[in-house]
Amino acid sequence: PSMIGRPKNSPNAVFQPQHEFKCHIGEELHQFPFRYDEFKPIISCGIVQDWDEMIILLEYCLKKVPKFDMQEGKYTRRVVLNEPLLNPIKNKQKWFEILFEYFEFHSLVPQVQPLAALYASGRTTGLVLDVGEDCTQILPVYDGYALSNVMNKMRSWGGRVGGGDLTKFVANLKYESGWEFSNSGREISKKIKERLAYVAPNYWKEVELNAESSQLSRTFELPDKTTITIDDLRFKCGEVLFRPSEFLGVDYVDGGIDDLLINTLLKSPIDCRNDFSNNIVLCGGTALMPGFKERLELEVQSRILPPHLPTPKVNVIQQVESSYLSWIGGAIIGSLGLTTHYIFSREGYMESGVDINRPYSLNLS
Amino acid sequence: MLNCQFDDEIIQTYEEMRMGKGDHKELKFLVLKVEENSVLIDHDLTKLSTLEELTNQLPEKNTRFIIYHLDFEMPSQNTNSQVKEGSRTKMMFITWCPNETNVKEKFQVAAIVKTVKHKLTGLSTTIHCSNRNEIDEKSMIEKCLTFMK
Repeated sequence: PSMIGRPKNSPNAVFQPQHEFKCHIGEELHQFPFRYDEFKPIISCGIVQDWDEMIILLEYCLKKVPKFDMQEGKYTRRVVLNEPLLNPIKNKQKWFEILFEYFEFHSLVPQVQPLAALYASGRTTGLVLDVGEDCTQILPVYDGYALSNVMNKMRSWGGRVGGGDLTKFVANLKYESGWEFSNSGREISKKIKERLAYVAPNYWKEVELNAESSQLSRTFELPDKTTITIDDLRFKCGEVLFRPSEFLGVDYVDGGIDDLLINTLLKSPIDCRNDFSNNIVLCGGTALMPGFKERLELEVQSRILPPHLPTPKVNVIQQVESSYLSWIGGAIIGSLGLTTHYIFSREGYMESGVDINRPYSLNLS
Repeated sequence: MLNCQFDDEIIQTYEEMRMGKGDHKELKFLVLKVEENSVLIDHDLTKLSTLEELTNQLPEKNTRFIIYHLDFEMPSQNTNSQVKEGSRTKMMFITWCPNETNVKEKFQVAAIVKTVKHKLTGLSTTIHCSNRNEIDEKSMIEKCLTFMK
C-alpha cells in the first residue's frame, strides 16, 4: 500500500526504521501497526494528497529497482505515468513538475490505467471495468480509440466505492457483532475480506439460506490463535459493491457497479454495444472476488434486453493477474518502446512548461 | 503502434486470397504468428482445410491472427419470394488470444493489431477470441449482418 507511517517517540530502538528515510513505508507498516500515529494513504482515488510524502515514496521505490542507479539513470530513462481517468489538471501538472524538475527524468509517457489494462489482456476493443482499492472506473474502447465521452468514474458525495470501502465495512460490521480490534484491525478486516468474502448471485436467497442453516459460515483464526465464526458478513461484503448507498450510508448518485456498467453500455453507440458486452475486461483486486464475474453477467443479461443489445451475449473476462493488470500494462508500454505521439521530453518541458491544452493520453496509437 | 517487421509475402498471399487469383485463390484462411517483433505466416496451420480443424489445432499458450474468407448466402428479406439475394464474401479478422498466454505476448498482439489492419486492406470486422468455441461461422455471419442491412 502507498502509505507512510512515522513512529511515535519511542525509546525502544527496535521500532525505529532501518533506512535513511526516517519512516516506515508500505509493507513495513504491517510489522508494527500499533506504533504509529494515525497514518493515511498518500494517494486517494488516484489523486495524490500529500506531495512531500509522495516524493519520499518514489525515492524509496526507485531505490528498490534492481540495476538502477539514480545518478546515472535519471537523465536517460523514460517514465510511464499511469494515471486514472479524469485526472484533474492540477494533479497532472504537479506530476510533470516533480518528475522533470525534481527527479529530472528524460521523458514521460502519460497513459490511462484502463487502456493499459485492456492492451495487457490482448484486446483492442472492449469495456474495461477497474474496481480498485479506492475508486471504480469504467472505459469503453473501440479499436484502440477510447470513447472518452462515455467514460465514467463512480461518484458519491463522500467518496468512491472500492476495495477500501469493503474493508471498512467489514470492520464496522465486526464491531457491531461485538468484536473489537485495536489499530491492527484494518489488516485483519482486509484478510477476512480477501479470504472469505464472495458475491452472491441472489442476495435475498443467500440471507434465507443463512438463516436456515450454517453451511455458509466459516471460521477465521485471529493472530492470537482464537477463532471467530463469520457467516452473513461473507456475502454482505460483496453486496456492498452492488448497493453501496444502502450499505455504506452515503449517497452514491450513480448506484452500484452494475448500474454503472449498464449505464455505460447504454450510453455507447448501438453498433459497438455487442463488441463491448462480449469483451468486458475486469481489472483491479476487488474484481477477483469469487462470484463477481457471474453476478455481473447475470445483471447485464437480465437488465439489458434485445432492442438495446442486438444479441444478448455477455462475456466477462476475469484474469488471474487482474489486480496488477494496469500496472503490468504500463510496464510493458515502457519496455516495448511503443511509438506513441504522446511522449513529453524534459527539454520541451523546460522550454515551455506543460501545455495543458494539448490533448493527450487517451489513445495508444 | 508497435514497430514490427511485416513480410511482403503476407500482403501478396492475402491479396491473392481476397481477389481469388493466383496460387492462393483456394485458400480459406491465412494464419499469422508473431515472433520477436516480426509477423510471419504460420504455414502449418494455413495448410489445413476446414475451420474446425484449425480451431482444434490452435496453440494453447500462444497467440495467432486468423484472416478468414467468409462466404455465405445472404438471407432474404422477403420470406415468400423465390428470388435469392445471392452470396456475399467478407474478410474476417480474428485474433486468437487464450487466457493462458503471458501478458507480454498479449500486449504485443494488441499493439500489432493496428499495424496488421493498416497493411491489409479490406478487412471488415475484428473478433477477439480466447475460447475455441468462440470461433464459429454462424456468429461471424450474424456479426456481418448487423452492418450489411
